Amino acid sequence: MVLSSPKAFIVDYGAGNLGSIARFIRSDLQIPATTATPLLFTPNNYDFLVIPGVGNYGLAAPKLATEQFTTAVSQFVQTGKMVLGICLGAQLLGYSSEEAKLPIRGLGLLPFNCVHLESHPIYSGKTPRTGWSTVQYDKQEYSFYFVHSFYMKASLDSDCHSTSLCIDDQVPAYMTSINANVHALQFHPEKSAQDGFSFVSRLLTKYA
Amino acid sequence: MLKRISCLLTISGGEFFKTRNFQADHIYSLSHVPFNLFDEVVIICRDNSLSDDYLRFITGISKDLRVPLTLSGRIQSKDDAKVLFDLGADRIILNSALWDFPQVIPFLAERYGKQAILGSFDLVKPPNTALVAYNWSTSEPRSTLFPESFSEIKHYLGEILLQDVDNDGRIIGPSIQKLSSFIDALDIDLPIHIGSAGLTSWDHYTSMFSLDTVDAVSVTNIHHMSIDALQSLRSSCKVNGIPIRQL
Repeated sequence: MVLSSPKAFIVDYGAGNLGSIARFIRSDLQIPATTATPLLFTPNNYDFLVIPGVGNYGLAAPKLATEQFTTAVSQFVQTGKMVLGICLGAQLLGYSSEEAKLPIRGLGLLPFNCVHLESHPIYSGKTPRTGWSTVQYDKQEYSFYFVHSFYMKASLDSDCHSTSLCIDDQVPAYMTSINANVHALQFHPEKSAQDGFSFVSRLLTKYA
Repeated sequence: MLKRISCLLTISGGEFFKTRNFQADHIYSLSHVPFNLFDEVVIICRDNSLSDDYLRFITGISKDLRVPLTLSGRIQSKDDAKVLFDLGADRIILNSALWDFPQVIPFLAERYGKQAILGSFDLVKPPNTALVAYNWSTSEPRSTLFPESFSEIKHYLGEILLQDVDNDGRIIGPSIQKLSSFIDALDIDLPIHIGSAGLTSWDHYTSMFSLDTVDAVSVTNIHHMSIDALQSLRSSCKVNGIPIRQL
């Protein structure tokens, strides 16, 4: 493990395959991790926050982005600690999503809104967009597994973060904050075989 | 997106069976199968209920799996689906439920996202009749190709899994015309996943992948599941211009 003595908190808000994520964090990355509801997240006790998730943004956002959790995560981020959002968990790091029938706010940690893939300027494939795609990051190519119908569309003030796109269709795969401690992964690293492990390990080396 | 090569296992009584026309033939060992070199693992339950043996089999596979896992299991309710998701399923397969329990599908799509819901059709072409779906419960052809409510429930599905009962376990290759006619009749642009369809040569796989409408093709033949065979299949796809993940 690259961090000196990290402790991870995996948020259980009833939306996701937590078993796979927990196994990825604990067994593959060898980071001790607690899995619990957002109410039990205490920023001072953890070094690494993981927000997994699959399902519907409109159902998930009210369970995750409560005032208490949003405040706690904001404090956590300001101390430079690492936040990793995966798939729906990544989309919840932004401002909002068209998937929600009502205007429900996400955590607002990264400047993007989620819009349907039908609106993407280049992607013309089927939705849900399901399968593997290649992403170039830091001069290296990775193959990742995606399954989603909405994508992270950067806001106009997007100069405060960076985005990595899929090579074949230019759909955003990864966004990070300018301080590089908030990471939104549209793909599933825990389901992307060796490349998923390599990518997250690489992100973690910045915290070594 | 890259096209997917999945590993499809048909399980009965907690054991991996070779099937022929969807009837269990004989048991195989899976000890040599490199699951994480596939793009996805799909497990089909051949039994009429979720047995402890089946759940034990899934647990054994999922604990070491680092690629997506798609599970079937006679899902009739939200509770049935939850069992499979809790065991590690990334997606679930609905087959009989499309016909017998369509009311549960919108709930599952809302709870897990429609991307997590595959609608499965097993195709059979009885002599002198039109192409119809196959009924797992009775091992008989149904009277139609689609359930009555399909025009409504198809909007809650994230992918279609197609299997060809007539060609399953045989060495006659795929019936592209049969599969294509079903895809045309679907009338919705969903990802298409070809399950068991009698593929026996790399040319058969290439012919399936060459269809623009097909997004994933399953390996069901145990002899195609070794490391060497899988690498050879991926190479063959690459040579033929099929966009496939290269390892």
